[in-house]
Formats: sequence, structure tokens, C-alpha cells
Amino acid sequence: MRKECFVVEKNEKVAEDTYKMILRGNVGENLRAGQFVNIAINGLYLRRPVSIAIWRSDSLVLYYKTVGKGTALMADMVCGDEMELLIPLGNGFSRELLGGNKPVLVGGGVGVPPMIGLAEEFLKDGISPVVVLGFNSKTQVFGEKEFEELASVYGRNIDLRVATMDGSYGIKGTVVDALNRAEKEAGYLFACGPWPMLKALGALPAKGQFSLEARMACGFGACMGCTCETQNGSKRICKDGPVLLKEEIKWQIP
Amino acid sequence: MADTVDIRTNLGKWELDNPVIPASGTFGFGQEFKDLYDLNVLGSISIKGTTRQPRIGNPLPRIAETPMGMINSVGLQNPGIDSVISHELPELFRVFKKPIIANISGFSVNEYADLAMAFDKVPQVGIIEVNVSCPNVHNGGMAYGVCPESAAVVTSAVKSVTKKPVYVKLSPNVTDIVEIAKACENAGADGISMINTLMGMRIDIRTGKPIIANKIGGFSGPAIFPVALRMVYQVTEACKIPVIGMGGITTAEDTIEMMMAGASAVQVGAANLVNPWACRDIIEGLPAACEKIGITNLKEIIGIAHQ
Repeated sequence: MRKECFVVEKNEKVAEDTYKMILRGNVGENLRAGQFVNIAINGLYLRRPVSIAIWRSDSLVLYYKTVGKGTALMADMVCGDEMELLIPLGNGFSRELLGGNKPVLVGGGVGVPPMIGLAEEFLKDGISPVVVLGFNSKTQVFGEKEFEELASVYGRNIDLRVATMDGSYGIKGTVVDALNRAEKEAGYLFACGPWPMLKALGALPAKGQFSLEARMACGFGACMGCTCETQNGSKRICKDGPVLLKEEIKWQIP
Repeated sequence: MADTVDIRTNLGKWELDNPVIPASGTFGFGQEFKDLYDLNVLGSISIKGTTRQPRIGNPLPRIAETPMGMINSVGLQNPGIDSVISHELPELFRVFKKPIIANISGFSVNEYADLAMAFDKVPQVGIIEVNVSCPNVHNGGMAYGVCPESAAVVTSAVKSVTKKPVYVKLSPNVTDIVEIAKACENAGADGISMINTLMGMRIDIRTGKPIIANKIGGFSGPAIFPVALRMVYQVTEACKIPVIGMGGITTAEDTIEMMMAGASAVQVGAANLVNPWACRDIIEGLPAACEKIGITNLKEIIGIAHQ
């Protein structure tokens, strides 16, 4: 973990209440998809954790949804504004546990961004993932273009499906409705999104790794503010997670 | 020259290289910080509050933000005394070579005494800090710190089983903290650590429900600094034993101010969580901050606000 100053290069609305921010700064080496940054925001005491979508050695792409004071202040930031980040945080996804299975990347709402970086890592490995994105409605859909661009850059196919709960775009229903039987039974799920979505995916026979979310303070394992119980004992979502193996998650906890 | 400023301080007979100590519960057992900077720059470390049994802590969410501060309700999550002594402390001692402050929390007077007895056998424990002020557990913690009689009973019980200096960590959630500090001093306490968090609350106005699962938590951060400073001033006015001052300390200037109020050393809590390098930054900034206002020896400013 390092503390680095980043400069906002672009900050634009990409869907209802959803923004894409491009930052310039020293990202460093050896990041993993599923890791996050903790952002200091002027005027607020605690940092705001945001997952990393795409990274290069000198730039980051983040997506965030305006849900409170912190993200509202982020939405007001303009090109040239500076932010101090703790980077990188969390464990990230472990692609090496895939085995010979087909990777099925599932993102729900603001759970989509880490799947963009993960898709890129799989494409670099020469593996074409299935990507399923879920939203409530058409106005919230984002990310399709990013996956299509990655597919063309790496010259590989991405089987991309979008589902909306109200059917206003793509497949009508949940992300589970967008999965075929083989994927539900023998795919390897990489998922990030709201708890009900993760829980529904957790009920499928397929193995996988799920990225969890929690209110946190420090983001690096010091405060014990985000500890959850797992089948393998207490884990700090920020430091021992946010990615947990599907089989270690205790689903009865909200 | 800033390097001519003497920033050493004393807690009783123990001379610390500087007055800056990470506060219990914001620094774990040092593992999350040891790769960020050399922990030996610190005056000492107050370890995560330790109980007899392992504790998984309170349900989530445990954290809420406030203007210039935060509320936590972690609930004394810790691996329990046996693991702390056999595992966490040896790991810490591999990288930290100075005496530490062992913070203990009990659910009975006997538990406090047992914990003190266990830490008494650890040579690298310099002070036993008796937490009678945790706001986040029921039937324990703060229950002992809210009246002078029970605070004195815990103090005596711990004193009777250890030769190490005993500091009682007090709660601000009381009518008269001076009365409780005096009761601890009379019961043999070697010092006072103060203040623990203030009880606070936030409600999510969209749901109408408290943000923290336990509803109420401990409020810390710069917002509480003036309250902590006032209480340290009042207690050092009435007591002779040394006080470790804490509550929202974030800068070298805060450290100086707290020492002027009467603290012999300080602990830094919430600041570690927003700037993991906070303690190191404060220590590095102390000589220049002292020099700027003509302080050459930090010990000489302790309590000068009383004169």
C-alpha cells in the first residue's frame, strides 16, 4: 500500500447516477482485478473506497455511483483536480483457481467495474470469458462499450450479455436468468454486486469468487470496522477480502 | 536547528524517545503498519484491547462518519489473551523493540486481574492499560469506568497482581471524570489514559434507521479534541499521576497543545485510519513545530497551561 496523489483527467456521467473517472498518477506494478483504492475527499473525514476498473502504470479508471456526500463531491470534480489515494488495497480475484472451467464474470450495477479489469486479465491470458451484466433498468446500463473495446484490442471474443430487471434493455430478469445451464453448473463464477445478487449466485452449483462490500474506515485492515464471519473464521473485507471464495461466505449474514 | 529540540518524555520512570503512541484499537498489533515505516520511531504502541476469550465483535455496519470524525462499534474484536501472548506479540516484537502498552478489557474484576497477571509475565510490556471505558460492549468495559467505586475496585485488583505500572483508561461518558481519576489514583493507579471515545450516533435519513448495527458507537477524531483537552486539563489539575492524553490528535501542534494541558505523552487514534503514516508524520514534525514556538525541551511544556 502506498499513498499517491492522482490528477483527475476526465470525470463524466455514463449512466443514471453513475460516473466514470480517469485519474493520472503513479499506479505501480502488480495490481490485481478486484482490488480497490481509498480516496481522500476534501472536507470529509473518512476516505471513500472505490474498486479499480482498469489500470495502467500511470492511470486508473474508476466508476462510482452517487449515493451520498462523498460520491456527490467526487461528481463535482473537474479535470486537473487532485486526490490522494491509498493504493492498492484488498486481495483481488485469483484467476489461478479457475482450473479448466469457463470463467463467468458477473457484475451487478456498480459491481460491474472490477469485471472490466478481470476480463482484460483473462484476455491477456488468452482466455475468452463470459460476461453478464445486471441492472435494474436501461437508464443504469454502462460498461458494454468497455468490454467490446477490450475484445477488439485483444482480438478475442467476449460472450457479453446484459440483463435488466424491468426488461427495458437486453434480457428481462436477473443475472441468473442470463446464465445457461452449463454455466450455472460447471462455470466458474467471478461476481461483484448487491448482496441479493450474490446470494442468488451462491445458490448455484458453480464454484466461484465473490467480491463483497462493507462500510469501512481504514481500508487496510487496521480498524476491524468491516470484519465478517466466514466458514474460515473472521475476515476483514478490506484486507482479507473484498474477494472471498464462494464456499466460505456465510449467507445468513446480510 | 530542529535537531536540538529534545522531544523525549517520561511516563513515570520510563523515558520514551518521543510522546507519540498509537492508540489501542487503531493499530492492531502493528502488522498492518510494519511495512509502511519503521515502527521503532514510535514512543510506544498500545495494542488492540485484549480480553480473556476471543471475541468476534459486533455485527456490521460498525462504522459511521461524522463531521471531522467517525463512530465505531467494533466491540473489542480480538483473538483473546492466549493467542495475543503466544502469537500476536511475538510477531510484533520481531519488528518493535521498545516496551509496549498492553490494553486489557474485562467483563469481571477477576478477568481484569487475570489479564494483568498474564501480561505481567511478558517482559516487553511496559505499562498495563486498563480499559474501563469501552462503550461498545454490554455488561463490561465502560460499566466499571462510570463510577469511582468500581473504577477503584478494578484498579486495586490489577495493582495487586502486577509490579508493572498500571494506567486506567477513562471514559468521557461520565458526569465528573475528575472524581473517577482521583478514585483510580487513590486506589494505586500509576497513571491515567484519557479519553476513550464519546458515545455517539448517526441515522441514515433515507431509511430512518441508525447507521451502526449496534445503534450507538464510540465517537472519535479531531471533532472531540477540545473535549479531550479540557478533560486532561481538569484531571491533571486534580491528580499527581501522569496522564496519557488522547482524543482527536492529528498533528504535532495537537500533541504540543495536549501536553500543555498536562499530558505527559499522547496517543493517536482515528488519525491512523485516514493517514496510515500519521504517527510517523507527527513525530517527524515535532522538532520543527517546537522550534517554531521556542520550545527546546518537550518535558518542560507539560502542564504549562496550569501556571
